[in-house]
Amino acid sequence: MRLPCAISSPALRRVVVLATVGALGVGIPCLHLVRRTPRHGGDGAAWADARYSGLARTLRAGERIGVIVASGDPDLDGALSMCAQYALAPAIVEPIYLSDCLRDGGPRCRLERVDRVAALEPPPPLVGILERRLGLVPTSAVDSVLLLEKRGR
Amino acid sequence: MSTLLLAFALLLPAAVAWGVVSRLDPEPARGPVALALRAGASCILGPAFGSLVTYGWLVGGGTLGRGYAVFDAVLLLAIVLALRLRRRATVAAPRRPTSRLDALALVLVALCLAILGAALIDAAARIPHGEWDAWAIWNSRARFLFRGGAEWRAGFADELRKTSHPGYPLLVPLAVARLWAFAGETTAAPMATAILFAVAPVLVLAGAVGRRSGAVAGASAALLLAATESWLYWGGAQYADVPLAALATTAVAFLVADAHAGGRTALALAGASLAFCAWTKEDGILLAGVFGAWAALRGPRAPGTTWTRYALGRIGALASGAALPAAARIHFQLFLSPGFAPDFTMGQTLGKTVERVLDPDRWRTIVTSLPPLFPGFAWGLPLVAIAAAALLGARPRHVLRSPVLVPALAVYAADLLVYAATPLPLDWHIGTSAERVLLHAWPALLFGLLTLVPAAPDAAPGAAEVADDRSGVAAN
Repeated sequence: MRLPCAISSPALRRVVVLATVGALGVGIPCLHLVRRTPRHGGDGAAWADARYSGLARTLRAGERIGVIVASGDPDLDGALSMCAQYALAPAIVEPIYLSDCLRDGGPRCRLERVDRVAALEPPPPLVGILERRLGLVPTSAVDSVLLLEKRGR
Repeated sequence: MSTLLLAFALLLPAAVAWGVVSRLDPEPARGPVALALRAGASCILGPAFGSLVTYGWLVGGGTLGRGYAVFDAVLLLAIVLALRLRRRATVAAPRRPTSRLDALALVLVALCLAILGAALIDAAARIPHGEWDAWAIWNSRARFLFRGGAEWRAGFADELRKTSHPGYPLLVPLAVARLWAFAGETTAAPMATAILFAVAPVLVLAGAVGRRSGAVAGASAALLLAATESWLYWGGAQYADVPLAALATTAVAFLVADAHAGGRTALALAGASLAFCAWTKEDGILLAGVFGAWAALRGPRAPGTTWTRYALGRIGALASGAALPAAARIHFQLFLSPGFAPDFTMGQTLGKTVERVLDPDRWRTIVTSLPPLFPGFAWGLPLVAIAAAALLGARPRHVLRSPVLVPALAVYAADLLVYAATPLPLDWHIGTSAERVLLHAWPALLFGLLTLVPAAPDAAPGAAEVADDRSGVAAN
């Protein structure tokens, strides 16, 4: 038994269906194209690639490298470290949470896990703090990324 | 040059898939409807098959570069030639006259494909590395596979567990890395992969539903999928959810072909598609299990066949297609992945899980949060699909006989259970994933609804009209 339908003619029903789905199937993608629905969030990957790609070319696959994350906000720090990981693959990024490191023994410092650390466009006062308080000495720069190593290596 | 190489790398495995599908499709027929199904299925199964070649190469000790590209090209061209030389002798179904309305339906689908493609290209170009999970997980993994050389396994280090989920399966990253081996590392590769997986299911629906229930029903399924805003959004985002849904669409197309034409070849193609689902995302295992179980137990049974022999035969056919992708998945799980779904399994006990599942507050949250996230909810597309099927003459009594509708609904029920059981914060988990997860079975649901429409008077022939190899009929 078929479902009862107010439109009795099968041909007319097919026309109604086709007109409706046609309007939706053509119209909604058109709207999407015209409205240019904003994407979620900014393009962190492109931002990170532009800054870290020079350094990425010098790293070995699987090499551990610390990346300073210094915003202090856990979500932003996490996002910045993930962007760095994408850009620096196939090296493995160890995020160095600066606020934890400067608190002496902060559990998320992780500085002991790496020999080299990268800091993106660090202001000069930060470079001084990294050297005086964490023993990280600048050794070279690749594009806008400053590379530091632990003093005494 | 890079663009040409990219196009070549995309077309080559699709050509292999075309040859395999043409050989195994139990319902050969001419016309745009059959061509749409084969083109769509080939565009979906092609990258999937290519990912297996790449995985085998890497596991065998190779690295991804020009050497791999040459090997891949030679191997796939050889397979294409072999398939052409051993082409099965079949009789094409007689070309059916197309009514004006059917012709209009096909024109609408073509127009929709053009606009859909343009919308997806525009969306993908605005964020060339994809949305968050795309670059953090899928494309990051592809970078490890491509850039890592002999150390490509570094991408599965335990340190990456919290950020890029190295336990996720590899179809999408391998498909992208394979393209980079041909064309160099370019954002066009993941963009093209994403767009292909978003557009091809529209063709599959138009063809497979059209073959069963007429061009208007086929066009309805295709147009409703293209009208789904979340499909448009996530299709351009380079996530793995739309590829998973695309593979599920291919699977149901072959399950329906099996239900009508019998034989075992369509089941093998369905088995391959389902195993590729499991090779795409962990959610794919659920999908493969539900559809596979339904297919093993509910297909056509020849008179006089015992139930055991029938079930074993069907499981064997599914397994024959699933063998290679399942082997890759199992190998990955055993030797590379640091764990299976650690977000769900680490530190969890059965007692805690049952407690969450039985919590009525959680179900209240699920029941109120999920409907607005259902595909097409804003435009009422699920109701439009039901109404369209009803107006075209769908018969509700065939719901239980559909090889697609009941398992599609079962997948949705399982999704609700997963959310009820999740150890992650429920609101956060729903907010960040449900819109994508609900897409997985959406094309299958559309497929199931519109194939309830009875075949048009000039619909595809059944198995009896497919030529027997042994009778030596004229080649196609």
